[in-house]
Amino acid sequence: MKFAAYSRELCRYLGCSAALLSTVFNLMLPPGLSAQTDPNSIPTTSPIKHVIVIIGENRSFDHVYATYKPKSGEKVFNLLSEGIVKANGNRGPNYSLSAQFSAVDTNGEFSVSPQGKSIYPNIPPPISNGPQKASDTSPAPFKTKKVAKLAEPDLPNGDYEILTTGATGIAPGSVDTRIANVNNLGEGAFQLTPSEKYDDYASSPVHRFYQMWQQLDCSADYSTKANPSGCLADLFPWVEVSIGAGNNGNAQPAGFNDASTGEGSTAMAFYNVQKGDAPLMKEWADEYTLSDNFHQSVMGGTGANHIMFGFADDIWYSDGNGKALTPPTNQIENPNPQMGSNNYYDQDGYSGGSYSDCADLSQPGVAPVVNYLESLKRPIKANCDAGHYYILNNYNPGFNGDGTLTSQFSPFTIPPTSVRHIGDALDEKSISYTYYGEGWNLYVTDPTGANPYDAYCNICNPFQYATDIMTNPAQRQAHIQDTSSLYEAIDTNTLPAVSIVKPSGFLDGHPASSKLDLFEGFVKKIVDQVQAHPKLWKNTAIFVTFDEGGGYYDSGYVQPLDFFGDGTRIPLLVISPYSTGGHINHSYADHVSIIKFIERNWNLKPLTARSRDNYPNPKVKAGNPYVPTNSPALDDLFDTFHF
Amino acid sequence: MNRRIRVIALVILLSVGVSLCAAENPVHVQGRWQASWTGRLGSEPVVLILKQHGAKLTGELLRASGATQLSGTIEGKEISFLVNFRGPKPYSILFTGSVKGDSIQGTSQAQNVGTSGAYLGHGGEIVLPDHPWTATRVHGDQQQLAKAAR
Repeated sequence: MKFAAYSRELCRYLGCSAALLSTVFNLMLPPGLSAQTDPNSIPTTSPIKHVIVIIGENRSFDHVYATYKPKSGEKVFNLLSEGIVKANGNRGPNYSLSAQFSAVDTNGEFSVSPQGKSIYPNIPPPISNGPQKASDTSPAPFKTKKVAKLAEPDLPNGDYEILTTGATGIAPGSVDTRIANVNNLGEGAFQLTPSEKYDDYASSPVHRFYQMWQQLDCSADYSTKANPSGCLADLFPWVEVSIGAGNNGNAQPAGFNDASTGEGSTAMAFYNVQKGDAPLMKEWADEYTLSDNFHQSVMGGTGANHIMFGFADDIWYSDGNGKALTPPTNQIENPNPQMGSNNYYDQDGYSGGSYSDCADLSQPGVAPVVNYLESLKRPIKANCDAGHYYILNNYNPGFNGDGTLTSQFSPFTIPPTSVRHIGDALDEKSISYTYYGEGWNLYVTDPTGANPYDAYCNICNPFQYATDIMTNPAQRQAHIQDTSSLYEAIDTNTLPAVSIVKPSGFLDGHPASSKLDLFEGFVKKIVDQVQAHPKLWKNTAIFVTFDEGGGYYDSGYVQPLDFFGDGTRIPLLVISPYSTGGHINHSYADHVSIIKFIERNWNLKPLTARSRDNYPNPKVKAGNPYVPTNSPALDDLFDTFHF
Repeated sequence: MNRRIRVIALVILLSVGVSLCAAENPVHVQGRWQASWTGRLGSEPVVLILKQHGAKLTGELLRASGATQLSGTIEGKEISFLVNFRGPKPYSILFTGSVKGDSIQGTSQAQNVGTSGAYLGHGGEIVLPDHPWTATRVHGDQQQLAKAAR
């Protein structure tokens, strides 16, 4: 029996309150762990005493809500409202607004707005990169529900069938012939279903830092009143087929063509909630609050976005004790095109370049981004400290689950960081918090991911980068737990004030390795469980979002905040008794907005002098609620509730 | 002429036979090997203790977390062995590889427990999805191991 269960049993026999028990147990705390106060007894700005943040993977707003129709009186900005598509998913009168272009970047220098653009009459055919068939001896989908249940405990009982279905039937690297008219998709966005089923494993587009800057195609020359950042979002397929997910420093292969990166125009696919896709995402939007102006906070992928969520900032290469160092040469990003290639980067990849010293304009890739930021009518500061190589893509966090260093197993590791994070701010005020990472318990015993059941996401846990948490066993135990402890905490009314919840790789919704319906199942289990406890539900807010857009196209406004982002829009659902009614919130926000909500609710100050949570709430002009006039600005999400 | 052809044919047959025999004879792998095994998140150092009886292999794979028995075969230079790891979620990994002198190079895949090749992480964003392993023979303890094998 765990602590929470003991608490409940003791309370039952002693008739005491959770607050009293909390006090008693705090007296018994090990060294290095601050006393945690019962969340219900801490003064808060709003009625919310518990925040649960559930973070899925890799879906842009338009990819999920392309055709969403809000209730009467509400407006939403999506492909349907813009006339890019019709409700049935066919091309709308303004379809050409989603038109995509090829470009030319052959002059040896990276560009965030490459020239020589030519419209694609038909975007390159998407390439399949998901699992070809169900198997009990290969990655999901599994052949049998028995193995599915063995591998994955966190689905609702009735949902295990979908962990056995959806194999592509197509060899990875082949044209995705499930998609109707795959060679004649036109110039822009296309509906993925019904020719490819909603339950099918779909392909995954590139979502890396410099690639996403190019995909958004931002230039002050393109700036308008409605779109002051001048980002056109019209190079998604071109970046996919010209560089894709990087090359780890290798030369461009001979015979390179539009299929060589294994992606094609995967980025342009969207689901249709009007036709039954993403039914729970639609249901929650209908019943609660949906933001149509929430963004991934860093251009690119998983690691940096989870870091920004935890630190309201990016972290950097160091000696592990706070002194900035220069990383090995092959770990420094170089997105400049190789000689003789069109946009095939010099050094970039999961075992290649991932850091940039963005204070140094002579570093590869830096000047084009910084010059763009400074050229805007309202110039934006890059916010890069001198001599700091910031992490831009996915590398292992500094620590294994047992507090030892990951560098013993992989050279592609971010050294331990002492940058202040949201856990520090909460701990100082004795406000309880826990990161619930599905699969944590197994991962702690399996640091290299040798166990085939181990689908824990180490790069997703911001506290796993932090020295103060990971070098203290008491801190680790208090603040990082498996999701089994989340379910127990909900059932026993011992939920911390702040819970951050991450599904395993099987359920996180990431295309190719997971599916959106699996993430819906994971979220439903938690929402249903919280709602089954009325005392908890009445003061709980559940934020459901994604780490990033996964490289999927989105038509929404992007506000530059600093060198690192923002990136594309992603969904944010706010599920609570105070956010009912199917409201669509338009205030500009990103992951750090959730940090701002926590800080305002529990009266905390911004994490550091340079962190993004210092940015003010947006001010907007009448008629355009999406574009802050006081940029850089981020909403604190209080206006997504009716307190 | 016929005799000459018969001689040539005999020489060819003998040559093929000899080379076939040579190919089927298992190379000597008994002993201690220092290995590196790559999982989804990195490479861990392990030690292989191989005991050889003709083409049959037994032995142990030693990790920081403990020792696990292995069993397999060696056919010529091609080595293959299965390791059944214990724990809360037991799993089996089939290691295959090729022996070249004092080194082995190969790949590893999970067996019969799902997610082999295993979960690849973020849609395949993994450095080495074949989970390669390499091993180098540790000299100096051959006799001791041979004794243990008996």
